[in-house]
Amino acid sequence: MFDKIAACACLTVLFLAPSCGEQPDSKPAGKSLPESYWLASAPSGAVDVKAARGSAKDGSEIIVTGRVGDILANRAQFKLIDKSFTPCNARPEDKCATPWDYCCEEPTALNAGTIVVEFRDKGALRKATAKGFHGLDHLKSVVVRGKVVKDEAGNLILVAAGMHVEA
Amino acid sequence: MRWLPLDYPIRNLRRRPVQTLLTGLASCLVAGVLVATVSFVSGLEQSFADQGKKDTAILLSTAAMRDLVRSAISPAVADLVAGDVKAVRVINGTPAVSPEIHMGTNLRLGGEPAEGAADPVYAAFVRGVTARAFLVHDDVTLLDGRLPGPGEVLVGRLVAAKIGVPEQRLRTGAKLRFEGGEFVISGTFAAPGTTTESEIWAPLKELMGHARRDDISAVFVRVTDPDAVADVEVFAQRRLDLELVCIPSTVYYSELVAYFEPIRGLAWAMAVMIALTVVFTGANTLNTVVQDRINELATLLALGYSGAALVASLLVEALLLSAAGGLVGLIAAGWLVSESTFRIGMGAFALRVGGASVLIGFAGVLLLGLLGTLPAGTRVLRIPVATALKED
Repeated sequence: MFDKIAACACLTVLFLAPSCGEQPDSKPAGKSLPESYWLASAPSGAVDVKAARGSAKDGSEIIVTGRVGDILANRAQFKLIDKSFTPCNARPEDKCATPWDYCCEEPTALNAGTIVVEFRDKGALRKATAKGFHGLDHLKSVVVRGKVVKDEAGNLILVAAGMHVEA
Repeated sequence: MRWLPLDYPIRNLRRRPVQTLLTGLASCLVAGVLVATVSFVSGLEQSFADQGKKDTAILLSTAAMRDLVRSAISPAVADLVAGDVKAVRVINGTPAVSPEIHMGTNLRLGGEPAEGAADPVYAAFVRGVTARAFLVHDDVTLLDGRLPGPGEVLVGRLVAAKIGVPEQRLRTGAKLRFEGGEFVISGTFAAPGTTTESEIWAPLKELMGHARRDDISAVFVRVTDPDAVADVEVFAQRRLDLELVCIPSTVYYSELVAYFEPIRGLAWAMAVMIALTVVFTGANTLNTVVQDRINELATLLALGYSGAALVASLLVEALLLSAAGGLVGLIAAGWLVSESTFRIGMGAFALRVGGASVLIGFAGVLLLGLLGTLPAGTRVLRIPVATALKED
């Protein structure tokens, strides 16, 4: 009997090999962000993520707009994706359960159009989640004002001072 | 109400020895199948779930779609995460960060064979590790031998069963060949209840050389407390250039268990189908028994025994037979299934007959005995005494 189960098992596993976005976003939400981060209206002069990646200098103040990608559950950090990328669910025939990870994009190109937004308290990342802050969720369009932290590898972190979530 | 004496159903069983034996064997089969199914399903779940640790995160490549074997990341990630994440656990001055390669390979046993000699190939799973792996995978213990040096490997205690060869062919000191290299087995390890036991652990650098890889599959990171797994996630998000995704190991292995859900369903479906076959066959047998003994049962009714007393006697008869057959089935399953090994994909796990499987197996056959009695019992309650007494 076990040989038969093994044969079926192998076939089934072949069909069930991991694929794009199979992990639902089931993480429990942590504490929310302080209200002081809320910007009632979107600040003017926002640039898109790709432009910020190209021109922003370490320590400079910038305003960036993009779509929300992966959001951490217990740390106040999320990825901000350039709006030129198409979320997987906006593509016909794509049934991706986690379109906010943009798994249908080429990773290197995607990273060039991504920055990380962080909310810090006295330099330390807050143990909270940005999810739910004034409706912030995956793929929502947001405008963030903050200070740039750029490392030697070119990764860009935007330490947020304020944020507006578009309706 | 007058009950029939207990020896009445026992004597009835002895009146039809062949029928009794066959029905008992059917119960025996069901008990065995239920025990095997529960052992298989729980073994499958536990062997993957037990590998997940709340204080451990896995860093792998974003392009790998959460598959360790497909993942390829820079070997530098291990030192970068150890340097950047303050919550990494440090054991005896060494960060518990394990860079690893996970890969399937074609395994050959023994040294280079003589020209023309048979040299069979076995599908095996190799993990390239450093000594730091033991800081992260603390459920791995050395059963004999020593940690591998250059040109040496450790083998899990289920590798022989996984590839289908006698254990002595993988004893300490034996030779193995894979990825173009020849290795000597320096020891055997155990990792109870996990599929890790079906792996071969080779020195990382050597495996990279033989497999011509300049990347690794993943980095396993052990942190000071489960909450600090989030700090590893922060590292993975910040280092966009490394193209990493961080998955808590509990999540990774629970997702693997979920992939096997259809297999578990299939196993249960087979068990239920076999059980239902036995129920229907048993019910049919008892129905025939009632028909054969219709005069006898009508006489008992005429003598003042109630229909309920006759049904109770039938039930005792069925339960005795189910219990006896079930006990034999449990003993047989314990002997055949316990500690046997089941191969699945690139791994293997041991089947263990535990209290739950024995309980489910025995309760299952008793339930089947009960269900099998229902049609015959209903018929007994409807026997028209006068007509039945006249039947030949």
